[in-house]
Parts: sequence; C-alpha cells; structure tokens
Amino acid sequence: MIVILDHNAVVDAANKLPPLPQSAMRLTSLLAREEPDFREIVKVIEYDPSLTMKLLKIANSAVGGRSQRIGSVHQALVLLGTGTVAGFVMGTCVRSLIGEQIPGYGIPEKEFWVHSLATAFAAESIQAHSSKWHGTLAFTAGLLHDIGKLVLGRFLSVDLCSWLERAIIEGKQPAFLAEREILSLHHGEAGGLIAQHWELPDCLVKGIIYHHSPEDGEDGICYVTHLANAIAHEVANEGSTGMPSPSARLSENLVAVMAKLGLAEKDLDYIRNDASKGLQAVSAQSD
Amino acid sequence: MPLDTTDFDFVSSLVLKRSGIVLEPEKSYLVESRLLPVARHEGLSSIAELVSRMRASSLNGLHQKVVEAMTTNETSFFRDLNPFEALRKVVLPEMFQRRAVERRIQIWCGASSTGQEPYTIAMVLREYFAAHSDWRISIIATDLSTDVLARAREGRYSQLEINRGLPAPLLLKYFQRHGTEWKIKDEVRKLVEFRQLNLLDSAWGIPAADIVFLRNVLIYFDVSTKKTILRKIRQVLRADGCLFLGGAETTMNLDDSFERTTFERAGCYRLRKT
Repeated sequence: MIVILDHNAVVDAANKLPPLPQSAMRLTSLLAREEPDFREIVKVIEYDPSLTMKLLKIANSAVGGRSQRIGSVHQALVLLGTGTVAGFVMGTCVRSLIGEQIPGYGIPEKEFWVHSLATAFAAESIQAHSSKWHGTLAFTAGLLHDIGKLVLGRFLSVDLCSWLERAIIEGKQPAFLAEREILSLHHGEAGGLIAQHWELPDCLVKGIIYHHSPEDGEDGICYVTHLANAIAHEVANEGSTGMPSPSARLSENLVAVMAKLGLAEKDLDYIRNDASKGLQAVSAQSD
Repeated sequence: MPLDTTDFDFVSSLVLKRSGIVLEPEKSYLVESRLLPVARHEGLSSIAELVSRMRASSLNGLHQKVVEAMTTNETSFFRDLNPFEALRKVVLPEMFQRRAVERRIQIWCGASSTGQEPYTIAMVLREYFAAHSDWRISIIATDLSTDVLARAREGRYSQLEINRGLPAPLLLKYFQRHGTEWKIKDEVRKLVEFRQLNLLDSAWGIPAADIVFLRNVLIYFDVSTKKTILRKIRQVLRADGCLFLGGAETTMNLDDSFERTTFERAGCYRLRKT
C-alpha cells in the first residue's frame, strides 16, 4: 500500500527515544495508585541524588518569593503536592529531549515548554477545583500532552506541512483533525506511543492520546487535559496581547467539558489565574 | 505544484465512476496529498504526469491505484463502541433465539478496510457467545481495495492501530506480539472470510445476511448511489435482519423500506414488515 506517512516508522521512532530513568517510572506508577504511599514517594526521589537536586531547584523556582527555601523532598512534596512534584520530575527528564525547536511544527523550544507548563498548571488547578477525582497525575498529563509532536514533527516534510496547512485553512478544521485527514494519525496518538514506550500508567497514555477528543477516551483525565490545553492557549494569548480573555468567549464545547468535570463557570477564572501565576513563577526564576 | 483544475476533474470523475465517492473541489489538497506518493512510486515527478499517463492508457493499472489511494481507510477496533454493545446485548442474543432451529448466522461487513471491524465482531462472538461455538457462524468482510484486503487477511496491526479502541484484556487474549506489531490469533482470524467487492458492481455475490455492517460508507456517496446501495442491501438482508450504519448516516428520505430502532444508543435499521 502506498502511504503518505509510514506509521510503523513513527512507532519505531517513539520506541527509540531514550527510556525514562527508573525513578521517574516508579514515581508515576506509585502516583497512579488510588492511595499513593507518601513515604515511598519520598524514598524513590531521595534515592536519586541528581533528581533530588533538580527537584529542589525547580521547587524553589515554583514557590519563588517565599522567605524560606525548600530544603528537602518531604518539604517539596508537602508544599507543592505529590502530583506537581511528579510533573516536575517528569519535566526534568523530558526537557533534555527537546532541541532548539520542535521539528516540522517549527515551535521554538521555549514556546513549547511554556505551553506544556501552562497546561500542567491549569490541569492541576482543574483537578483541585473539580468536584470529581481524576487521580494524582493531572499535572504530568498536562505537561506531556503535546509530547507526540517531538516524534511526529520529525516526519513532517515540506510537502506534508503545506498540505496540513491547507487542510486547516481550506478544510476549515482544527490542526489535529487536519493531521488525522492527511497523515491518518495525530500528535496525540504519537504521544500515546511515547507514553507506552516509557511504560507510563494507562491514565497518562489516555490523557495524552485523547486531549483533543476527550469523548473517545472514556476517562476523566482526557477532559482535564482537553480543557487545560484550551486554557493554556488563552493564557499564552493574554501574555502576548496583555488582554485577559473574557469567560464569555468559552466555546459551547468547553462549557460542556466543564460540566462533565464538575466545574462551575466561576472556577474558570481561578484556573486561568493559577495557570498564569504558576507560569510566571517558573519563568521569573528561569529567565 | 497545485493540482490543475482539469486534472482534478479527471481524477474526481474517475473516483466517482469507480467507487461512487464524491470529491468536492475544496478537497484538492487531499487529492494532492494522496496522489503525489502514488506518482513518486511510479517514478513520476508530479500528479500532472500521473494524470497524463492515465489519460494515455487505461491498461497500466494506474486507475485502480489512484482510486484505492483516494479511498478513505479510516477504521478502528470497536469504533464508536455503541453498535458493538447493541450487537452483544440485543441483536446477537435475539438472533441466536430466532435461528435456534437452523443454528446458522450469516454476517456481512462491507467496506471492512484493514479488518478491524470484522475482527471486532469475531472477538465479540468468541468472548460472549462461546456457548454457540458449534453453530455455523460466518462473517464475510469485503472491501474495494486489494492492498487493504491483503493487510486484513494477514491480521497484523501496529501499536498505533491497537491503541485505537482495543481493550487491553482482549489484546492479551486474542493477539500475539510479533516484534513491534500484534497479530490476531488464528482462532479469531479463521472466523472471517475476506473478499473483494466494489459496492458499485451490479452483482454483489453476497449470501443472504442476518446482520449487515456498512458503517461510515454511505456518507461518501451521492444521493442516487446511496439509494442504489440501500436497495441492494434490501436484497441481501433477511426479513428479520439488522443493518448497522454509521452514526451520521440514515436511510431516511433515501429508502422507506427501512425503519430505525435504537439499541444501546446505536441506530440500527430493520426492514419494515409488509
């Protein structure tokens, strides 16, 4: 069969990414449990000195402005929450895989990272405000939702990029549907392959694959990543225009998603605010 | 180079004539994206050259390759889930009762692409109706494309295809790992017979069926072709049989012989009693 994109080559590329450190895999699998064991989580991180150092550095960035520094893994976990800490751990592992820009998509590394972090902070906030429980991995799911672009982007030739662009404009459809139409594969699915290669828990695999089509995922985490992604895009726009995005602009689809997550309209401003604040704190320290 | 209007018209009328699929002019980017790989595979540098070869001769096999490249092969295991819930909870139990004397059920799965849909039906049968394993149950799956049929018969799927809807317990039970791919076990594979069939052909050669799956196919056809296909389904479907169409498809205003029944949020169609 003559195909425009060899799907087996995409699967191979995902499987050839370096494996995650044992500590990161162990941590996410502990957090995927219904009642994660706090002491065990501390032990897993402390067992890896380099990870502990990186975590404390990032944790101090995230709570920037506090008079007291975070000096232990235990303290970081109490102050930031286990979900956020796991996300930071994952972030330290993943950031090294990103070059100057995401190939094919042409997204500069910083922009990709800022969007990933904004989605992570929004996801964590959605989890906190939601009347439903979606597990401890919302932050990590948000952080990794676009990870598939790292692999899929490598296959996007000039021709493919041009057809994708036309599929969005002339086909009047969002980017992920254009990918599905032209490539018979979208970046969420490519991300799912990476998450499986890293042996991440099933809820993360689903949260990544279905972040654009949560209704197909049959898991609350898919709605979390979907809404968080939309809010993160708004937060990025605010950053560039200086104008807040009014709640009234929320699409019908997102209103339905909020209802599914047990969120009230007033929660939206808190979530936007949390995403914005989290992002500013991290950026201020890293600039 | 963008596709010339006359070349687009040539391709779209060929595809319409051979497969019934309607290509609107605003989908010219899709035609380009599907046909440039075909042109390059033939050692040609552009779609214009490909079309020129096709105009010169209809005997070089290019026409079939082009039609196959333009046929959407999107499919997945348990696609949309609800029809398979309806099949499992209502349609099959009912059919097993009705056919208790002849102990035979015939299922036809049209436009079956790379086989995920007929294999899903086969897995539902193995998983939930094992007590009827001594019945003569036949699943005939058909498609227009030689290439996708070859893949379907092989029953090998990438991790990507597996991720699209196959529940983990069924993966472990009915598939074996082959390198980075998964191969469906013979116990499921042998339940499905794949045949080549163009829905536009005058004779289908499909035996009378108790259950017909023809999902997400009618949407690609014009109204007159939809009517013709539904008329031919009427001739294949047994009087108390059941037809599953895609979620966005209907028989309404096309063929009044069918009436819609909803089971498990899935629409299925039965022939009206005369």
